[in-house]
Amino acid sequence: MGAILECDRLTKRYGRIVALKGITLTLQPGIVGLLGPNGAGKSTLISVLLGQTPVTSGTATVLGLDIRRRQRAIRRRVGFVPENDCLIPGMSGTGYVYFAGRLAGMSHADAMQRAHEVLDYVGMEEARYRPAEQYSAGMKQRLKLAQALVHDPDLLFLDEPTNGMDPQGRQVMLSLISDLGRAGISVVLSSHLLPDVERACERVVIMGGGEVLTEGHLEEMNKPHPTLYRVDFQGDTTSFQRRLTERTVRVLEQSDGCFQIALPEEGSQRLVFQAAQDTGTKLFGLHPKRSSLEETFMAAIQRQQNA
Amino acid sequence: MTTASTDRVHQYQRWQGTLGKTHWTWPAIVVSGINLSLRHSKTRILLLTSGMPALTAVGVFYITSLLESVVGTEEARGMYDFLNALLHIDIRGISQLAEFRDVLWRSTFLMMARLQMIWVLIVVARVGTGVIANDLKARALPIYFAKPVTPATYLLGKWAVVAFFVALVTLVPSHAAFALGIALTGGPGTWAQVFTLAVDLTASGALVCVVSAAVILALSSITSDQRYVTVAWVAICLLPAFAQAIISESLPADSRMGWLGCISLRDDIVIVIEYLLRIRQGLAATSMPAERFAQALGSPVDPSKAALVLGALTVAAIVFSWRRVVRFSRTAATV
Repeated sequence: MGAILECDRLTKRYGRIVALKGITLTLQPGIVGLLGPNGAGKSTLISVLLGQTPVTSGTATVLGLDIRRRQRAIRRRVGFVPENDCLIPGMSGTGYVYFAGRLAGMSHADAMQRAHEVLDYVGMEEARYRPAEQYSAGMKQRLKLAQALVHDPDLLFLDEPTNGMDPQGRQVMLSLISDLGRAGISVVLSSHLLPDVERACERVVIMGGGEVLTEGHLEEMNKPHPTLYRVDFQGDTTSFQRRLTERTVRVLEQSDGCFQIALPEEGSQRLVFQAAQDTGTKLFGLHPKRSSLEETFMAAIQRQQNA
Repeated sequence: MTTASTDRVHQYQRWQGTLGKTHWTWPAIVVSGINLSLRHSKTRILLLTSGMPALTAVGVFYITSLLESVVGTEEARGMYDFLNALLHIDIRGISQLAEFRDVLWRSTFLMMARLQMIWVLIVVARVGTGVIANDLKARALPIYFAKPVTPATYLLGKWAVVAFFVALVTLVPSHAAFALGIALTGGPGTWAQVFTLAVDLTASGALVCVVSAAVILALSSITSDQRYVTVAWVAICLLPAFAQAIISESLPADSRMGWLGCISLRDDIVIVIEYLLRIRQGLAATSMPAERFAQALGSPVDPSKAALVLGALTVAAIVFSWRRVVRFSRTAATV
């Protein structure tokens, strides 16, 4: 299967403000997290990819369809869950999802049947017959997901889908997103909640200032650091630290029975064992440090600000 | 309150159907808008009361048919007075009323149109003012523009919602009165006399639908607060009408017949309807003296001027709404 998104030097200007600065990006099918601080250009990128906002320059395709010429064809194959409520006052949950299906081009019978199917899927039981404005925040989010799924899209854009949800509701939403990924629907999850992205996504794109700062697989981002380690031990802290320093191992942080260390080079863990042996220290663990998504995110933002 | 369990039973099922043409999504907007509006009991009551002018018109048709058989008698006097009060046409002493049936019916429908403008004002204020404003307030535009809905489709759907309700208080009662009038006053004979009126009534009703729906769409796209739209709509309908009334009292007839006679939306619509119903031509073609119906028609205002004003207003309103909706569609994902 080809790429779900391909952007080539995609630029969007609003007067003097450059919202997207020549974004070049290719996303393969799967669940992708779109991260970035406010004003990073995430919503503008989604709007451009939905074919709503005309681009200033550059090209992009969504599911192989050109965003400049095939906007309606794109929206037939894409679902969008906006950040805001976007509910129509007076409509029941069923009516709302049915209406979304009709707008997508479904027949009356198909839209009604499919509305009930997707409402079952998102876990809306008898509440579906109540006016949607009476729903809790979690139910509104699930209703919005249902309207985005009604026409069975191949790609979903989710803008902050867990906003305002309680922990249980968040778990439900994230498990739904994971399930959609397994069902073959690609998802672009725009969120500022890094744990949600870590839980649901396979790949991450970090944006800042209208640019893609970094992107990659979460596994790669969380791979062990080659020289940074945590040492758990029992013994004399002072002598162990002195011996490590003599063997060119830097101690970055220390707490009771635990050091954060930096080895002089990759694969030089033996220096730690030798220092422990020299001082009679018992080692309980030597764990390579893994960079978290948050650290990667902060580092990317920091690099961009410095630049 | 129902909440989803973390242990969900359902797994996502792909849909095997095919989507239809996206150009035809506007009827879905219309049906949805009509259903939502009809849920309010006040709207339903309003629609029911909108039949009153039509019932009055049917009464007039029935009385004129009775009058044809009792003309010149004592019984006829009350009927004359009633008709004179309603239509402002003096038909006393006219023995062959059947000859004037066509023009009497047209005058009756003009009277009816004037009355219907009150319902148009209220119905549009009730169902039209929020037609776009409520979507803006609820930030509901992404539901439309993330689906294959174009600004034109959206605007057409919203326009048709308002036009439908305006038609319910203008076109539908007019045609119902027309049909009832024929049924009550002689059937085929009457039909042969007045059948061209059906086309004129349709044109008149369509005029009201087009203009009022276009104007309210423009107003409704300005703000997300329906109250402001209602105030603006009422002001546009009433203030120029008051000004027109003052002008009519204070200015000479020549001035009233020019552009100054065309500043009121309501009056302009009535002037064009009067033209579409061809009342002046109809009356002129009969032997009825002009002074007998002068009061019914008032000062002649050039209908082309009124039509030009209405046309310009409608086009301006459509262009304005279009620009607003295009703008909304481009920011729908980011609002």
